[in-house]
Amino acid sequence: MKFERFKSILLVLLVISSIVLTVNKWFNEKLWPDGYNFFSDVKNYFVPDKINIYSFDPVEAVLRPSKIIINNSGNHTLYTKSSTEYNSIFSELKEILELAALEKPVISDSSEWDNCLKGKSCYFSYPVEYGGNYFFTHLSKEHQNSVKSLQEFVVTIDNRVTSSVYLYLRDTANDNVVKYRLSHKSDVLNQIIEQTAYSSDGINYYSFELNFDAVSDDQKKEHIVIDSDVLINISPKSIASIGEQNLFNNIAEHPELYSPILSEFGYNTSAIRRYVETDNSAVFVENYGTLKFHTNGFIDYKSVNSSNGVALSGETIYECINAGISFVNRVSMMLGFSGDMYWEISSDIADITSKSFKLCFDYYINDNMIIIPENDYSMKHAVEMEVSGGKIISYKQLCRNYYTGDYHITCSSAIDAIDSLDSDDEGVFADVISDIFTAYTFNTETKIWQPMWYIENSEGDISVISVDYGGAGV
Amino acid sequence: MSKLSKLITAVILIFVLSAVPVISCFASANSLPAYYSGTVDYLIDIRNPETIVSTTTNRNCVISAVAVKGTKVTLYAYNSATGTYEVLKNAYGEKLETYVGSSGLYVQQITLKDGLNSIMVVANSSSVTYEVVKLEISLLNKGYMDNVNAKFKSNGIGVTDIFR
Repeated sequence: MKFERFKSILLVLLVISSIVLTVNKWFNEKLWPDGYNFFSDVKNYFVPDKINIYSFDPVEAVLRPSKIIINNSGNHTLYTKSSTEYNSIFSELKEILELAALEKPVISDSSEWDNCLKGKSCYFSYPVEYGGNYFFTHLSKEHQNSVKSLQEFVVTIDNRVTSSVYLYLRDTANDNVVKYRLSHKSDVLNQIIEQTAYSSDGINYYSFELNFDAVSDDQKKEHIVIDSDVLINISPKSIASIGEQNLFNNIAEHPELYSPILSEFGYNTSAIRRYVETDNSAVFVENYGTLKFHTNGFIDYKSVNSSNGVALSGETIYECINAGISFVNRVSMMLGFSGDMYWEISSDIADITSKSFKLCFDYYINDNMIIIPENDYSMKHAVEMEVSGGKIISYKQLCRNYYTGDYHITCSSAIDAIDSLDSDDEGVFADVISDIFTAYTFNTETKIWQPMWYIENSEGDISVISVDYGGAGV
Repeated sequence: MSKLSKLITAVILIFVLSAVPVISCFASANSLPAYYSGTVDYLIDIRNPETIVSTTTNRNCVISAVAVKGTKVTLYAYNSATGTYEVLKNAYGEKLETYVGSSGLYVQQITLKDGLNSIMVVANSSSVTYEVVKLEISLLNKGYMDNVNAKFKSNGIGVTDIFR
């Protein structure tokens, strides 16, 4: 009997001790695995997804053209976002766009468009195609849009009637040109055009001005054809060098850098599972997704399935797109990029018809795109976001800082770059050239970033021309 | 062949060669006579200006063309004082001569003087195969333009409408 009693007491003590130890383990954070919180799982089960509301207004970001070209009787001056005059010109253009949103256009034609570019006018274009309704919704909720998709505009003035300006836009869906006559005083625009004529460097010409958009009848003079609206730089140009800095060196030891980003993705930073991989990449796990900070400088977020993810605010599809753009802006601000850098949308917003879409963005510095080394990061663009049902289910962003270097590199003229192409090349050479531009590219041999010419044809084939030795590669 | 006949042949050759204004493949002549004309008409097709005689208000004039690959294109301007066409040079004193590359495209910007500019484009693929195109480009100065504009404005027509 004594022995039985002793056994009962021992059993009770063991039960009490197990309860005490369990409670101690639950409530004493020091005993949890790194970043683990037992209660976060329970809490997340009952608390719905956090929806971020953004104060950033993406209207300006969407409406700001990537290039503005002032034309004055053969003089063409190119302004980009880094130009000091850009903002004052854009504010005038925005007023004109706001008026156009409330008007119905009439049909015009390409010859009228070309005449505008030859005379006094202001051409501006966006890096991607926008849906007409999406674009004009930013300008007015009561817009009268009838254009399906758009990318480029021309505003011109009439010397005889100073109370009107004309806005032309090309519908990219059917290549039609439409025209708006707007009641707006043309004196400010006229002044901008007259002033910029003095500073024109005379090195940029449209292909149609040089008549390089027409095929020669003579078989002996076989030549490249360039789309009429392509701006051709006829002289060598100087471009600043750039350097780069990895923002995620030893990222696991920098909570001040990763914590705000975690919060943006809806992670509770005080209750989160974290582990560090052998290459020092920090991985954060929550119920519905994994966010990884790679030590070579990029973020990679993946939700466990397409019904869970980071919820974006917005009742309509357009508001959801805007929230996605705002999200990218917020994360980019947290990374603390150099003032020289900015981002542009790289994926068209013309055909988005639901809250499931993919948005891509690229970084720019000194008005040149930074071409992401695809093999190093398994991504083509600086930011790639996939949204399903209004929730971000996949997000990748390059987190490297690019800054202007202290020397300049001279690039050959656009014609010399085209001449460097292999004439036997069946790709770019065999078709009409639709775009010619310089972009910063990482040279894997010299391990430095350098500007290179990119030549794209109407089929979307791109050839890359090194400015150093004129060699072509793809 | 005797030494004397060799000497006579050499002297005759020198006379013949000096009489003909030769354009070497590798160096353009500094000046050419006003009557200079080509031997072929298939080497170059001037695209801008679109006509032989043209008028502009822009001092920076661009001459564009499509040409047979490998053709050397040199620009000359007429000098009324000497009565000859003189080769145009850039700010570094280099002749405006360019070899047309595999694109078949040629473009060169020149600065016009006020009034009439007689420009000669010489395209040559060898010393005996060359094409000559003579352009007459008139630059209208700003004062003249303002006067014309003022007169036309009274009739409700802008001068930019005329030159579009």
